Formats: sequence, C-alpha cells, structure tokens
Amino acid sequence: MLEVQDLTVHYDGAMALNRVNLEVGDGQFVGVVGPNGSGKSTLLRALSGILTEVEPGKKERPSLSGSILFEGKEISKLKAWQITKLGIIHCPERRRPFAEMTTLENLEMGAYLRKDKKDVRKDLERVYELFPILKERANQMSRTLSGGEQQMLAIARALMSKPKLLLIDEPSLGLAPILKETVLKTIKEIWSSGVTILLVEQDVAITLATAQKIYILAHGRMVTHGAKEELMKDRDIREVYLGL
Amino acid sequence: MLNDLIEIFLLGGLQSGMYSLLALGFTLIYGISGVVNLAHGSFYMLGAYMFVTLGAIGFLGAGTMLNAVFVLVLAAIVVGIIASMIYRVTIHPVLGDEVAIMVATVCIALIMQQFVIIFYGVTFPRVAWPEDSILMNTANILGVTIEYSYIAAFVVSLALFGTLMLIITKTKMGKAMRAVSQDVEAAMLMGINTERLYMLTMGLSAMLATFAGILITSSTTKSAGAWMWLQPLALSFAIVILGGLGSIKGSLIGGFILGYAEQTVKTTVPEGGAIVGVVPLIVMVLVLLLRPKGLFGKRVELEE
Repeated sequence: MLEVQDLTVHYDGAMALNRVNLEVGDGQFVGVVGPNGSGKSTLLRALSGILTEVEPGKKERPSLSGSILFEGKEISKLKAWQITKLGIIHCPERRRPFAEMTTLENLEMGAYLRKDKKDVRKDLERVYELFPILKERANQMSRTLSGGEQQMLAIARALMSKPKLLLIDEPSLGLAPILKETVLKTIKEIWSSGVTILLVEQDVAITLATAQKIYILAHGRMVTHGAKEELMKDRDIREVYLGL
Repeated sequence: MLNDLIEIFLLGGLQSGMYSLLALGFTLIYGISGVVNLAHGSFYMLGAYMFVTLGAIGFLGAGTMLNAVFVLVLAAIVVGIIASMIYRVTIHPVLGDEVAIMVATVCIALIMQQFVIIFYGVTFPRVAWPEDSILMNTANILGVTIEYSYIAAFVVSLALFGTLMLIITKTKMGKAMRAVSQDVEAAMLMGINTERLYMLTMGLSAMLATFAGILITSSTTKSAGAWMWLQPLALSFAIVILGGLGSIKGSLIGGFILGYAEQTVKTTVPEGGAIVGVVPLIVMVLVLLLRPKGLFGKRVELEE
C-alpha cells in the first residue's frame, strides 16, 4: 500500500531523515519506534505532505528527496490536502484539536472532503459508539476536554476522514496508563475494521504489543525492522533500542 | 451642550457601524492567513472607482437607484476577484515571511494609487447615489441633520457584518476558515486547500472593503481621489490594533470606539473636522503603549 524509498529530509542544513525505507502492506499494522528526535514525526509529516507546505509564520521549508508511493502512485510532490483526499489520514502529535470549535464541529472538519452525507452521518454514529464520551461532549469547546478526551477526539476526527491508511503520531503521549490502554485498544479495533495503520510511538512496549511489523528509527536512519519475535532475538537491538 | 451630546451619539454611532465594516475585512484576512494587508485601503479606493466606472455604463438604467445598488454589488464582486488574483500572484509566494508581506502589500497600494492617477488623472470623480434618490435627502433627528444615505450606510454595514458572522459560524467554508485560523496544519490535514481558502478570504475581505469604500464615500465626501486609501488604512489599522488583531468582535467594538472618538473631536474641537485624521493614530499609539495585544487580542485566533 505504502512504499517509501530513500526518503531524505533536510531541515535548514541539518539532516532529519537519511535515506529511509519503509513498506506498509495492505491491511497491516506497522509501528515505528525510536527515541525523541530520531525523526519519527518528520517521517509522518513527510508522508502526509504537511512537512513541505507553505504556511503563515513558517520560515523554514524543509527539502525532501526520495520517493513515496501510495497504491503505486508517487505522492511526495502532492499538497497535504491532495494526500488527505487519497485516503492517507494523519492524526498529528499532541492531538491538535481545533480549540475554539466544539467536539461536533471538530468531527465535521474530519469529514471536510467527503460528499457522501449519509455515510458521514453513519460514521458519526460509529465514532460515538467507539468513544461514547465524545457524544456527551458534542457541544463542548474542544479546549475544555481532558487530554485523554482530546486524544479520542483526534482519532475520531481522523476516522471521520474515512482513512485507507491511518498515520498516528504518539497517541500515548501524556496519558495515564489506563487511558493509554483504552486508546490502544481502540486503535486495534480500528485496525481490525480494515484500516491499515502506521503507528509512531516512543513507548516501545505499546508498539511491540500491537504492531505486526516494527521499524526502529534512530538519528534519522532506519536501524532495522522485523516482527517482534525477530527483533527480540537480537540482544543488541533489544538492549540498545528497545530497552528491554 | 445637550445638542453636542446628541450629535456625538447619533453621528458617532452611524459612523462607527461603517468603521466596523471597514476594519472587518482587514481583521478577517489577518486572522485567517496571517497577512497584514496594507493594501486594504486600496481595495476601498478601488471599490469607489469601480462604482464610478461601472455606474457610468448604466446596466439597469443610468442614474437610477436600482442601477446604483446593482453596481454596488457588482463592484464588490469585481474587486473581490481582482484581490484574489493579486493575492495569488504577489502575497501567496511569500507567505510565512511577515516583512515580505508588508513590503508586497505596500507596493500593491502604491501601484494602485499610480494606476488610478494614470487612468483617472488627479480628478475627484463623484461617488454618490443618484440625485433624485431619497438617500440624498436629509432628515432632522432630535435637532441633528442627517442625510438618509448616512443612515442607510450604517444599516447596510451592520447587515453585512451580521452576514459575515453567519458565514463564519454556519457555512462549511466559514468553519474551514475558523479551523485554519486556529491551527493551519491540522486544517490542512483535514483536506482543506489553504491556498484556495486564502484566495477566497482575500476576495471576501476586499469585497467588504469595497462595500465600506462605496458606503462611506457616498455618504460623506461624495468624491473619490487617488489618495483616499491612506486614511481608511490608518483607521482599519487603529481599529484592529485596538480590538485585537484577528478578532472579529474586536473589530466591531474597536470600530465603535474609534467612531465615537472621531465624532467627539469633530463636534467639540473647533475646526475638529480638519484634525480628525490624527485620532486613529493617537489611539494606536495609546493602545500599543498600554495594551499591545488589544482588547480581545489572542493574536492569531479568530473567534466566533
């Protein structure tokens, strides 16, 4: 479904990603782990096209080379909204809800590009089933939501975009352990409903417990990848990168 | 004394409504795209000239009120389209660089001024409603003489203000605008085409400036001129700095404060009409000294 080849990203002279290769198969659950600053978020931002967008107040514009193929189509030169239209939905780090909009309005924004109004309504019911708390908070400004609720909102909003491939950045960040579990369980549910998932996490345990295939990223390079069992076999990897 | 108070209350209030409309477009484009549009006054001017030029064609009968209203709307649409295109060609490529944006927009303003001088000369074409229109009559309210056009301009200004609020809170485009003003990256991830949205917003902002330009000019000086962009620019700037950059509520309240401040000077100071242009500048300096973020300033946020 997604094939990344030799993806290199330069930020103002510094290299954030160095010839990264990555493959996500149809219906797979793939995880990327790595310490802070290893380039995980940059990777997702490059995939969703947000990295190279022009924005008010954004001075540096990173340069990107290499290729990103989605369903066989080169997307590295596309605008973020075009990539969203293809069905790659990025659920960003720190949740990023629209603070001065209600929960419901946030969810409506998720369905911004969709024309199938009937299905949008069905999907709304579905995310309310998945996250009943959001239904209670429907008319509340999203800035008044707790961290956990905001994370649920971010995931729900992404679901409203009808993703084929869902990119999730650090969903466990700043959440209490019990909430982490809930969020993770939901992501698994979404996956079993047929959405391909690329999860980026600092929390290794979470990723190992869920992903079918795991990539290890360090200093902008892919160190290795494989299934959990394969990675655990290698003592160096286990100790240095997974900390287990 | 009492007469003065009544005059300040009535004329100041009417003027305030128009000022709010003028500042609304300025705050709108800043709140959504972060562009401090120093050419805002130029769209105000272009609107007035467009009103003259298109009015001369007389689509629905030259010199009739129906035609004048039609031309008012048509001028807004034409200026809106021009502004969108100018935005795409000059401002969008430097988005992200505030200084470059200011330089670009000042250049646009100066080019438009020269454009007007070249095409219209240093004349002062008449911008007003048809002579026989009821709008040209005056009413006497509590001893104050007010032209109907002044009252109409106030009413239309507030109606347009309300319409814009409805667009922003209720329509899909408006929600997208709010989303972009709150978190542009997240908005892009929702699939919002920001380039198109900024062009639309600039068009909308210039339409508001056009309405303000025609309504204000036709009810006050009644003539256009190549330098008429400066005063409204200073006014919009003062109002949104007072109200808070990017705040819609701020532009309404700031418009009223400025409108009343100006009218107070006009009424109470001898020869006040001549020095009234200083008022916005004084307000601007005071706000920057005392409360730099303005009354409702959260800087970039565009609230409901």
